[in-house]
Amino acid sequence: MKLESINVTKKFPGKVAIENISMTLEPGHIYALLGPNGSGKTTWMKTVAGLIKATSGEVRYNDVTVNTDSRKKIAYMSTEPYFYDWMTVGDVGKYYQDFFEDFSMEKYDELLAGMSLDKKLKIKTLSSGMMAKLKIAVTMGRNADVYMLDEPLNGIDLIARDEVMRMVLTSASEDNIMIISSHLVEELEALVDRAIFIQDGHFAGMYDVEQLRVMDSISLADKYRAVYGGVREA
Amino acid sequence: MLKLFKYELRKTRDIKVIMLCITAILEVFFLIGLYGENERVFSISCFFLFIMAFVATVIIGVHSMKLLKNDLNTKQAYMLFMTPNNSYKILGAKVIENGVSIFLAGAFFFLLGVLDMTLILGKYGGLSDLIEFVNELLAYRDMDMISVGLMASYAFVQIAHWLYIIAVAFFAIVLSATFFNGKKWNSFASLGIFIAIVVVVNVIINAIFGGASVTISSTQNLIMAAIFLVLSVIMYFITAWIMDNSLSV
Repeated sequence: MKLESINVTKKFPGKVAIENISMTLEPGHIYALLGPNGSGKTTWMKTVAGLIKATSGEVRYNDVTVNTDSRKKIAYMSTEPYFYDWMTVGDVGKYYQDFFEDFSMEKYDELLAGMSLDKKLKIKTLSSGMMAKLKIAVTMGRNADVYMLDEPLNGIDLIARDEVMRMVLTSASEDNIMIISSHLVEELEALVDRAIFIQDGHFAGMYDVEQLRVMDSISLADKYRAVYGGVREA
Repeated sequence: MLKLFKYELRKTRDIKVIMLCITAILEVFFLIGLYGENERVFSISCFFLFIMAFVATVIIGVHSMKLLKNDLNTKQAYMLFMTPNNSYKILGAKVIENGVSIFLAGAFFFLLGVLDMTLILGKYGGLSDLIEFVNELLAYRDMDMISVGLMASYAFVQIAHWLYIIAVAFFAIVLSATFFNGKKWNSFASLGIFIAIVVVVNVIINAIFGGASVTISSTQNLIMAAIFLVLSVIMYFITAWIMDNSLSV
């Protein structure tokens, strides 16, 4: 199983969001997708999820261009809330159960319990923190091959962040690919083993985090500073 | 597609319940007016029940357009387009839900009308004389007699026409969401495309096939209904194809 991004370009009127992004992602790794605001991380993730049509290039999952069918195995969690207002937390689970064969209601219930979220709560009454927890719980409730979490640590407190980290580590396996975008590089450092840098819509490198630490004696956060802040590497 | 259809029904539930409640209240006033022999209440409730039959089908259609617009232009789009369903199924569920809702609303108000007319005829037998008079007048003018068949065919062509209007609206909304997404004039573009298609196609159809009317034959009405249904199907396939190949949410 592999996920390939081959010269993926997405242009919006008056703006090139991502350009010629090429990389191959393999199972058994947790990838951090890093870059400043507007660098193209979300656009790339949405292209992989099939929500955005690439202007040119293609994303291939198991040697097939991503299509409707690949959504069965690719789970995407967006930064923004997207559930219907009329739903309850329980309804969201039922919705996922209706459409995703890999969704486990049992796992969802466990994750909700870990997050202290009641299934009877209405979506429109949820705070931003509760919404963030719900998004992660329903996404990780799937047994997908590829998980893409866009800013999963945004808007949640420290305890919930620990819970999210725990959830990611629990769900990560040798058989799946986990991609997490976040601005909180230091917090991600303990979680991920590879880091992808995106700069101004271009691929700016993929690094093995352990190798950075051992071979180059540089932390992921310092590497981030070096790439985006122009700080000299140690 | 059944699951998508189920959720489309759920999305439109609230507006239907509201319309049903309003209709129920009007019906209560109608019965009070009829059996309480209060002419004012009777005539006002009759008028509003008559209006409600048209308004309800229009609201169902307009509401479905609003839902589609939200489903394409807000983050709720992910709820549909993250699922392993292609655009033909997603749009198909919306079109079928709309068609079924409009048909059921039409049938509901038709049956309610028949029921209320029966109640009126039971109380004031004189109304049957009025219908006979209208029929004699139409026969004198060499037109078909107003029969249940003719009225049903006319109702059918109206439902088919409304379904076609909604299919064009869906097309216009998808087209503007695909090519003018993020533009301030996105809604105006939808409206412009919609009006242009409806006006041009209606002029062409009426010029070639003639129109539909309660005073023309049932056959002519059924031909017009078939044309609108075929056009609706064509619009559906074009719209779904655009969604599948070009739409980004």
